[in-house]
Amino acid sequence: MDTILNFFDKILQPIFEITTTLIQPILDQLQVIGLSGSVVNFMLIAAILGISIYFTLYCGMFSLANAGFMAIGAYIGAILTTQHDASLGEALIWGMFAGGLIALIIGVPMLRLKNIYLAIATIGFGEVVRILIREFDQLMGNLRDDPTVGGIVRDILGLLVEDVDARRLRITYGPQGITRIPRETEVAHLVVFLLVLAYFLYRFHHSRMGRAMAAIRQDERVAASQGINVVYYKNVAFFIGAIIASAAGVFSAHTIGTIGPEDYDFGRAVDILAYAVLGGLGSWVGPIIGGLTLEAMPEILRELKEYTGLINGLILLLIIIYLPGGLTSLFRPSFWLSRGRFDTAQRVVTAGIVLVAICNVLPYRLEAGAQGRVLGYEVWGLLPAFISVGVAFFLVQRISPKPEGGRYSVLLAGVAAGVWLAFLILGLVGQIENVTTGYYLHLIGMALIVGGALISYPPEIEAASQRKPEVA
Amino acid sequence: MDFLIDFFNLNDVQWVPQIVNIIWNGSLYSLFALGYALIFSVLGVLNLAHSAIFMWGAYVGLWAVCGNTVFDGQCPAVDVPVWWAIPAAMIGGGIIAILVDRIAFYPLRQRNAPRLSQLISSIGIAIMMVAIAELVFGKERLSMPLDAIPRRNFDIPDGLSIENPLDIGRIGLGMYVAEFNILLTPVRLQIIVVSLILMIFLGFIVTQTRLGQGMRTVAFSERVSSLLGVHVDNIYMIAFFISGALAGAAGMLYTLNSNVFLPSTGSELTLKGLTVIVLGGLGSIRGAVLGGYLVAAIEVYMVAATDYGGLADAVVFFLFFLVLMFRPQGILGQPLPDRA
Repeated sequence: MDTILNFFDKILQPIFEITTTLIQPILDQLQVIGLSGSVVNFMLIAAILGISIYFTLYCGMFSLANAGFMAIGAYIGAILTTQHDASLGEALIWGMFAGGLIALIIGVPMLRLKNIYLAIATIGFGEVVRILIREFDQLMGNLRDDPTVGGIVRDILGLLVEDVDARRLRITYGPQGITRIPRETEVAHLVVFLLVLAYFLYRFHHSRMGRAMAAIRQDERVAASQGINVVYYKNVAFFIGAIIASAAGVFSAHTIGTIGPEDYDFGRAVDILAYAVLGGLGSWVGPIIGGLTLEAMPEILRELKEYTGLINGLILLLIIIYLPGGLTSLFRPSFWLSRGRFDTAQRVVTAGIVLVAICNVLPYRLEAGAQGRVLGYEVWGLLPAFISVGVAFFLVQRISPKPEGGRYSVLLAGVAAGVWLAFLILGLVGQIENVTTGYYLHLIGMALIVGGALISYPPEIEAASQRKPEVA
Repeated sequence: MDFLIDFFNLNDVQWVPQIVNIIWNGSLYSLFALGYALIFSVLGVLNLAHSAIFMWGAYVGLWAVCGNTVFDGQCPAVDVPVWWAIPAAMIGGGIIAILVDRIAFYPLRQRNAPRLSQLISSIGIAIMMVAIAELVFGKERLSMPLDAIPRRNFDIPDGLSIENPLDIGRIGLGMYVAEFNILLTPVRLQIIVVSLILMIFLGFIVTQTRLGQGMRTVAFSERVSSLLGVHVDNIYMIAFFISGALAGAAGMLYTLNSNVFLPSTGSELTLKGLTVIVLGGLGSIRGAVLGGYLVAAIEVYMVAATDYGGLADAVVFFLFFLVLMFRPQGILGQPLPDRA
């Protein structure tokens, strides 16, 4: 084991060094817009987590178990590094091994379930893991002293701690969690890991396995009739997702330095889901972009820290309702080259929204990074932006398939335009300092939105007939 | 029987107080889960924002009896009888539930989006509602003044004394029945009575009225029911109102008992409610009631008769796991096709 690890060390060390030098300029740039230190680590971990849930979703399984696997990886890794002086590499290997093993054990019975039932069962799995970790020390302490199963329990515990006979077991440290974990995760580790994963994912789509999983997502019965082993591929997808999530858990534990069972509750599972949903499931870039964006958002919008929950919920809601393909669908030519007039309008409006959102955040951050805090701009510059983005998203819905939508959309576009105009005038009069190109980009975005709304007016009747009936 | 008592380690358990605990906890869980189950049976989606509606219902009830001071994060005095909060919470919860439907579910229904998208959007709006509550009411806990909630001071029972700190709560909070070692507070009685009334009322609506017939038709198939002349949109709206009203009532009763109002109230009930409706049977009204009492019984048992009180939730989830594996329709549910 040691020789293998040494061998890997020799190969990997130069790679990490080269990566560190290569990514340094990017890190410097990120620091300017307020992303530094462990934030970058968390962004990359979020991207890895996004990939982990991507596999199950790609196979058509809605699994929320990844927070549980993350907890398993984090705890195994942390126990190894704090109590056994293991290196990060060893912790990573054993964490992934443990996560994978548990995925194999529970996958076979659990993946018989489908749809909402699978979602519920995986939520239950996450909760059981969390509670067991919280109560682990007490439970194992009692089982160890039990006459019948004591021997086996001792053997298993012997793998985790040296002093099995301690009066009070201290393995997971109950509700307060493990502290003082060495913070060994470096950005280079994460970047290399993520690149390997991304390459794997990129190749995966065109592999036999990827095609089989896509077929299962489309229709399980047809896939089975084509000779695809549905149960096998579902378990493989679940397994891959679990080991990636465990690895992310190990990395995150060695980034934060402190872990507790409550870090891996239902909210974490939802966050992981949000990475994938935000980025979109259409391509392999999706979960990576989603994870990076969602994790960076609270830092970029540091002044709005109070509203983080609001913004996260809003993003999840808006994306799932108005942009089901996620952020990556914006990069597809087919999204912009549309078939009918309504679609054009919708695309144009979306372009406007994206433009406005970008130019609201970036110029401010760049300036603040260079010159320190810019008072006044920060709140008043972002508030109308959020109002207008909200209104504009509402517009997209109104414009799209409903024939009577056009009238409202013009009205609401007027409201959005009014908000922006007030903002612009305030800026020009001098109430708000630092009138930058952002304002002109604002104008363009606004024009796009109003224009899009106008294109859709007068409404066309044929749009109503385009709604497809639900196929059972 | 003796064997069973030994096996489950029930010798030291005081029966009456624990059964009372099961009844009032279970009533609360059932009341909460009923709304969950109603939406699941009519729409076929899990409304994970149900606990957020529960929390908002409690705040609306507090606002109704306390006035606008709640927005400053305090509640100095309650002028009206505190029970008025319950109908207020029900109406508030109902209206909020309709809003949740219009914002999170309606656009997706229009688009015939997959059911799982609706699950995700309900998670999104739940996060938002908690965040909004934090902004509106503050993150700190709110409480009603102590004299607002009726606490009947009976004569001090034998065996208790003012001197003993452990006894003070028992004396002040309500009626302490020494021979059974149980504490009856007006709030807990209220929980049991209101829950039973609402459960029976809901059962009556769903099984006996034309409205309930409409709901069951929509649950069977939206298309068929619209062909039969059922106004589907109205049914959805009414179903959401009823579910929100039940959540609001549950939220108000829950917070009246603990007298702690927090934006995070009820977040633990999201998953507990899920176990309740799965154990009883997804989408079954009677199943939700049964599941509520079952979960309460398991919890009370774990705390009272074993050393593993902290593992109560894990046991509930493990049972829930087994039920999903071997009988996904739940104990009282209908067989379903959605299974491999």
